[in-house]
Amino acid sequence: MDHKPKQEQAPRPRRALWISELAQSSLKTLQAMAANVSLWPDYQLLEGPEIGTILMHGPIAGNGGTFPVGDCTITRCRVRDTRGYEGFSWILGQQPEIALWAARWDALLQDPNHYATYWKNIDQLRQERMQREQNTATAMQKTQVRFFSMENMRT
Amino acid sequence: MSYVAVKGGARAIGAAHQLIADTLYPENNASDTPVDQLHQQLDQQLRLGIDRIMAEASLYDRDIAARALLQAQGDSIEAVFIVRAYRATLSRFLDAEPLKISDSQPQRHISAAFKDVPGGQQLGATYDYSHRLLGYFQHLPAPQSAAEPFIKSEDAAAETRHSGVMQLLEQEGFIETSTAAPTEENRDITQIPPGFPASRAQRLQTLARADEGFLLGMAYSTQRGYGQNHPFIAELRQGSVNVEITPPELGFTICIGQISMTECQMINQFHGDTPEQATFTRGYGLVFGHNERKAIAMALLDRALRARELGEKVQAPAQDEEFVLSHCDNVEATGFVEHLKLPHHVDFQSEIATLRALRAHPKNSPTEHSDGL
Repeated sequence: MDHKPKQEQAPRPRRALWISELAQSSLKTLQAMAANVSLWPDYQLLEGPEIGTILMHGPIAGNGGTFPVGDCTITRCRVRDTRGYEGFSWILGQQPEIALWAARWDALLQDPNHYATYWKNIDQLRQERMQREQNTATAMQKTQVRFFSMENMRT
Repeated sequence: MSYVAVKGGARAIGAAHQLIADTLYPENNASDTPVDQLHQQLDQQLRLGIDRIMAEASLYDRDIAARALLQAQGDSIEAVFIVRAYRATLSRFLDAEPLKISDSQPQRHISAAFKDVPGGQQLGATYDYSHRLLGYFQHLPAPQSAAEPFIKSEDAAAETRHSGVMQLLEQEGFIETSTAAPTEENRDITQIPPGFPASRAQRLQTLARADEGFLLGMAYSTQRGYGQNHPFIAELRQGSVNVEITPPELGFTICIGQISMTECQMINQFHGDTPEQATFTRGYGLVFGHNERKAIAMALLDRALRARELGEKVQAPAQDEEFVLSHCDNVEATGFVEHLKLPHHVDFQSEIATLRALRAHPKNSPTEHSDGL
């Protein structure tokens, strides 16, 4: 908990953005995107892909505290590529293949040259995700409603 | 009297299991749907059933819940048992950051207490206002034309963000206020079993994973007069909430996706030592998935179980935390109730033997017995 306030003050590092977008992509998307990379560096698996859980905490409204709501399954993976970059991934659900690809992408993007070349792929993931969210929001907004009270019934 | 174990019967048990397998995966399966597709289909078309299993199993994983429901032939309590057992095999990597429900992307956001809520009342995907007629959704009229405007809440245009109704009440001082710092321990009851009295966090965790039917019945009892309650739903919200973690290797927070949650904020009767201090009190419900009935019941019970804290008399079953918390878990309950199916031959023989012994000694005549009393 100690480091949290500092995190909130500082802008999230770019790396947080790409890890987040990779984590929310489908396997199909990641595989298609991998074809854009001309030369994938060799890598070594340091950990996983391993399935476990994270404990979710929900707020207690009006109390200021939190309570454990339950666990979520998660898949994590850690790789090191030949240039020494360590890539991590944390993926919701049981997704060993996605976890491996995401960890390899994380290692790849830490190289500034690769970052310059491939950031557009991450940006595209972000735009696609935002479009999906917008589509859902638009569909849901069609159900916005204003109920009228039947005042005559009371008077 | 303790249970005396039996052994044997392996062949019959094997055959019994084979009968289940034959039903689940018949050899001449007409539909020929691969098992993986069946899970996806279950997840898609029995979505709310999957949500219920995830909530009661206390594990958010749609795929595992769908597999369990299929294996359990649709018996949701059996499915919850299977998921709980599976969860026990996984190690817990870390604790996620507290969920920010108010920042969620709402699919459904309604208030029964206020007509105009910030962001507008949004019904989302619901059959709350449908006729309960078989085949109703197959015969819906064509959707309204795009030219016809939807009736929007007045506030909706000004503010699209669905902020909280409770903050408005807080600002006016009508509702009990938040204490800034957490005052109670937030300890996972699956690691450290709670004792009594339990903290509110422990009660809420127990209720979040409790049997929906039990919560519903208990919540209903508070409305019928067993435990004082006069509730209004301030906010009912269902939507996608960001999952954020701060892995120690990174040292910064990352968002790794969304999960669906349902939250109910309930306003209840006044409380206060003097009329000037009187405020509404809160009940809170938060569950995995889309599960409004359970979130509402949970909020009613949360409020009822705060009786002691708010200086009310504990009179009704729903206010008695030992009664509610000890009996609301369906895996625990089914374990004890259904174990009666297991062979109790030795136990029962011992009781028969006792009865025979009593009959064999005519000394225990009714007159002597009543004298003894």
